[in-house]
Parts: sequence; structure tokens; C-alpha cells
Amino acid sequence: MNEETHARRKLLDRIREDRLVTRRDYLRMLVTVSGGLLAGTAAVASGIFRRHGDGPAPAKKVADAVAPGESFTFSYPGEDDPAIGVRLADGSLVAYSSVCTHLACAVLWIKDSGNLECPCHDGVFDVGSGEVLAGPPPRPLPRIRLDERSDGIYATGVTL
Amino acid sequence: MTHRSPIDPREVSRDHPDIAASLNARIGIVAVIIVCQLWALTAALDAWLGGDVGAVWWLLVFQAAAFVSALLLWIASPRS
Repeated sequence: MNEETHARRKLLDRIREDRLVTRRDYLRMLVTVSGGLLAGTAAVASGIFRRHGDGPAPAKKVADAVAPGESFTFSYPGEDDPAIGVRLADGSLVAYSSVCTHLACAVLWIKDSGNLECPCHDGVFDVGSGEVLAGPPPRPLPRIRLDERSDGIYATGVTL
Repeated sequence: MTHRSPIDPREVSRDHPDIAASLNARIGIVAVIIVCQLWALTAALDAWLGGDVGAVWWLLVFQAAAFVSALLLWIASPRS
């Protein structure tokens, strides 16, 4: 018996020895997958995915003064929570998480269009409300509450 | 030496078509349940990130019910 035939026989023997998968086995595998999906949802509910603004959010000074139509960036409440603030033409102040709700690219203030835009996939957010106007983002931007005081602009909390 | 499974699916199909059909139907139903569970998982993640915690808990209840249904279908499946 040459070497190739011997290897071929060994392979066939190994295949024959494999246990056949029954329908009950398939059913058991599917039930295991079902349990895994339940565990995944339980993990989501337990809060393993961090959201912008989770945890304490004490008031923090984020800017001194901003002219109408201009924007400023800051981190709030944590150093890993980038945010963008804009003073609108009517003088009001708004601020949002600058992490796009699509794939977490940085959101930019585009003065010409008057919207917040994500350059990665052309997501567009309304600067007045944070709602999605166009593109693939599935959710509005988390809003950061601002308070204008005599010594500057303070962030005071986050609304998802 | 060769090893034979105590249950050969081909023999079940040939000798017990009722059992094979029952198992096929259960596999199909559980597959549909899993598709619904995949949807529920993505919906739960979207709701969590959007701050809708109430929806997350309802979806978790749905997932638990779906899993229990799949488990019962498996436990109550006929044996050859």
C-alpha cells in the first residue's frame, strides 16, 4: 500500500467514525443559541454598554463666552465624553454629545448649513433639538444642559 | 474500528417519519424564534443607548419567554 492510499484510508476511517448529528442535536444547538441571545439582552439591560452621561455629572465650567453662530468643544461629564456647544443666531445656547449615534465619529457644527453633521457617513442632526435630519444615525444626540452664569457657561447635566 | 451513532437520522426518517416531521417542525419554529430574538437584541441595545430603559426590560421579558418556548420545544421533542 503506498503512502497516498494509506492516508486516504485513514481519512475515510476518521469520517466514518464521526458521530452523526441528529435532529435533536440541531434542536439542542438552536436552543443554546436562544439562551445566548437571552444572556446578551440581559447583559444590555445590566448596563455593560456605557452611555454618554452615565455616572455623576456635576456642574462644570465649559466656556467663557461664545459669539452667535460660533461653536465650542468640551468634555462632559467625563474626560472621555466629547461634546459640542453652539450659540445659535437667536442667542440661545445648545450643546450635545459630539459622538455620532451611528458609528461614533465626531459630529461637527457646519455654520453654512446650520446643522450638526457627521462627515463619516453624512449624518445630519438638527442643532435645535439634536434630532436626526438625514443619514444613517438611529438616534438623536444626547443633549447636554447648559447654564449661562456671570463667570461663564456651565454644563449641568445630560439628557439622553 | 468504526463507530455508529446510537441514533442514525437516516433511519429515523425512514422508520419513523412522524418523529422526523415533528423534529423538523420544532427546528423550524425554534429558528423563527431565534430570528425574533435577534431583532429583540438589537432593539434592546438601541433602546438602552437611547435611554428608554422601560423598553429594554420589556424586551428582556420577551427574550426570556422566547427562550423558555424554545427550551420546552426541545425538552418535549420525541426521542427515537
